[in-house]
Amino acid sequence: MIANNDTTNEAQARPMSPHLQIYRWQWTMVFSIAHRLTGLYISAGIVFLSAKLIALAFAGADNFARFTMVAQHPFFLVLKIIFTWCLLYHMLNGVRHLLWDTGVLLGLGGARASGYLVFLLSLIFNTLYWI
Amino acid sequence: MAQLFLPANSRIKRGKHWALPTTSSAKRVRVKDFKVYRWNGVKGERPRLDRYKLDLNSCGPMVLDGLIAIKNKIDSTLTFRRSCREGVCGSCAMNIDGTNTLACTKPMASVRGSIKVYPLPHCSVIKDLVANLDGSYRQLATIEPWLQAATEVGKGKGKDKSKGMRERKQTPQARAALDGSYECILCFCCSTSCPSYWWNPDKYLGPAVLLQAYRWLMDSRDGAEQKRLRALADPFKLYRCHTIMNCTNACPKGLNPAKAIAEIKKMVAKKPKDTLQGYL
Repeated sequence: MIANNDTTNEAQARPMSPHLQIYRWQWTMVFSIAHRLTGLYISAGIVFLSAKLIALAFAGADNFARFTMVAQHPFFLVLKIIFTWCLLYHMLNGVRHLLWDTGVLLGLGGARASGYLVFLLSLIFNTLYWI
Repeated sequence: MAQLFLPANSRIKRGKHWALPTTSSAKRVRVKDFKVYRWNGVKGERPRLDRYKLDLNSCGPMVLDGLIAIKNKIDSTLTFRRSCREGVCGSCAMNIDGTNTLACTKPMASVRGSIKVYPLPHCSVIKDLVANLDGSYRQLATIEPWLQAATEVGKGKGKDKSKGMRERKQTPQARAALDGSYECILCFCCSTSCPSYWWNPDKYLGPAVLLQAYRWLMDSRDGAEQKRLRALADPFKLYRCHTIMNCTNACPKGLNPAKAIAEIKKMVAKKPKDTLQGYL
């Protein structure tokens, strides 16, 4: 990996200064990486949801019943609760991104406050969904 | 592709411990611990983290004062850039206590515990705290950071070329549109704080350069808006910004590169598609 666009041989022998290892986590940075990670989780979750639908469509009543039984295991329940939270966070943060594209909430205060709000709302909505 | 870990030659090893210099004059001693990134320029040798102890009563209040005191009293081989010592030159940009800032405007008292000092992140290191910013400077040149007027208003007549020359006037409102971007001192604290720039330093222009691009787009005297936007409308140059906002968090001048980038995106979006060839 060549640091900072420098392609000379000399530059490649030089060390690269530490980055992710030493940078202090900023809240806006946390909300941003969370958007990525929740997106990944949803993508993986969609595969399992599709598997359920396929089971429903082709596999017959027995297999579908088995699938449903396995899916009711507490482990999968936890995965499902995380899935809905990811979906809510990703969606609400997506709205935050849309607002940013109009040029608002781009001050430090606005960006931080909206990040906290999105996180809080995603937790509240997720709790409401599951109780 | 993002490389999250440092290459083998860049991993930091334990460094030297430098003792507190014995001073006869100071009666009360306020000791602060410094941990400073060192690389002496010998190829193949790994960087190390040296520890210094410094009496805060023996030097000025800023981190730069501390570094200068270390260089003068403890270890003269410590290398760093500095010039104005008042936040207008941008030379002493470095990573202090985990965030990029200017050493000359960062009070040592604002850091709890030991003061960790690294060069600007994800740069090739020239020596100790001196990061190589050549790539960023080259990127700055690509946005043509100078006035490109549509009309020639200042052409002189006859032998004396200055005769008939006029200044390009701006209304106070048009001048105010440059507030928040012209103040940039190009210290590159923002660009080197940006994870997007870490992973694509060769293709993404980075917040500092984009803030400058915005500065010229907003200049009422500049007539090259169309050309400038066309050059910026690129999936990497502009759109690698994901509004992580480390830039705005880091800026020692209190500017907002993230906002400037969002405004450029809006300007691009407002242009008819056929006028911006290529990506859009």
